[in-house]
Amino acid sequence: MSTLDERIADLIQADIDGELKASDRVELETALQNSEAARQFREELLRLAERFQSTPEVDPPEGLARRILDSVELPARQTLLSLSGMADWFRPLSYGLAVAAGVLIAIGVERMAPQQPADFSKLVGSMVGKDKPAAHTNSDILRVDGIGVRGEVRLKPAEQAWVLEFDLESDTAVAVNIRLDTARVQFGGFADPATNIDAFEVSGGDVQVKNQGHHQYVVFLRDRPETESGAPQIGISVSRAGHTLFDGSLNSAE
Amino acid sequence: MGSDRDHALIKRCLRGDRRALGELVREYERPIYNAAYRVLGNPDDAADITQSVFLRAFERLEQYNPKYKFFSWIYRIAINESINFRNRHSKQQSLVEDQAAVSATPEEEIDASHLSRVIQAGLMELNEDYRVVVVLRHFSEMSYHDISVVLRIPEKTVKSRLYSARQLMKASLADKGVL
Repeated sequence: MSTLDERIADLIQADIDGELKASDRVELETALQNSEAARQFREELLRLAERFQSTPEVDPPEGLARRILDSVELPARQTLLSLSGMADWFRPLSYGLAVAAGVLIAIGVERMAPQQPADFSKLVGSMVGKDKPAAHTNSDILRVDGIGVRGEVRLKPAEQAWVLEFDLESDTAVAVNIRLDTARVQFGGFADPATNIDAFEVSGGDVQVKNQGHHQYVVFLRDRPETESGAPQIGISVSRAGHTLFDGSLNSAE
Repeated sequence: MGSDRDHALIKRCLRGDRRALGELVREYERPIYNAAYRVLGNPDDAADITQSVFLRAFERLEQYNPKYKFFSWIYRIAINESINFRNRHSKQQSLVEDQAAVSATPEEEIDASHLSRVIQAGLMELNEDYRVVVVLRHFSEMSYHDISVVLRIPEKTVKSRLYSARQLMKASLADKGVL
């Protein structure tokens, strides 16, 4: 082994580790053709690597994951809501007053369902988790199961309005596109309990939300007063870099 | 270990989402435990260190810089915790036990558990610097670059430590009849 050049030893090691540069390949192959020491060194490293590879993984003790989960504390779940896009519908929002977002969403709910008291905590519960679902008599559920994205979207009726609840999970950044039945409804507002989506845009009858990971938010739609009431058809598609991963639609059975 | 997915899970953890925490623990419990076991040589210590790694990581989660891979960050914590643990306890008991249990064995009789013990005994004969690079390369399957990020050493140093560690491991395994 003493006759093996240090440079050649480096190349052999890099090759075994899958790190050999393409530009070094010819030099390595020439060395292996001409040097018995190089071939022997390579053979020894391959055998050693094979031994490591054959060594089985060790199973963590049962209950370790539970111990970890029980001991780790996370920040308290955020409940602050952000609103956007409601200016056309509810003029005071466009004044940008420094009012707590929770109050603003409560006003929005009050306007959408005047017969029901504005119940802010209930609304937050319905968006963040399923432990406190908002009271609705009808709903339609669209189950989303595309490549790298899954979950569901619920359409729920309110007084002269509709609520779209999103609970989707995506592996990477995706755009959720909502196509509105503009003859029947128009965009009314957006509430994101986490306040950190990547992008949000309303254009004509289309609403687009971009984010990665958890898509948990609510889109409010209001009935057009000039049209007859009835269930709107809502198109939902999910795309990544312009490629559609999922396309579907839903409408309430109301 | 998809870094986009990890970053999304971390964002959710920072919002207090325990489901995201569960996913990260499921993803990293096993590799962190295995790395700690191979550095420490003792399953109980490896379990304690794995729990401690997650505790520390989530205590400092707000300091995590998404410019870097989450797995590099959590492995760095794991390696540091393991080395600090050994320095605090400096126990050689497991080494003695492992070495006592290992004897030369004909190649055809090498089974997985025997091989695992022999490899572990060989690892424990290495100094920490050498042992850690071997563990990260062969058990955590990291690239030179990732090892250099985790250990904060140049790639050149990673390569030279790997070279020396492998020479020692070759000799050790040959002595024990498994190479």
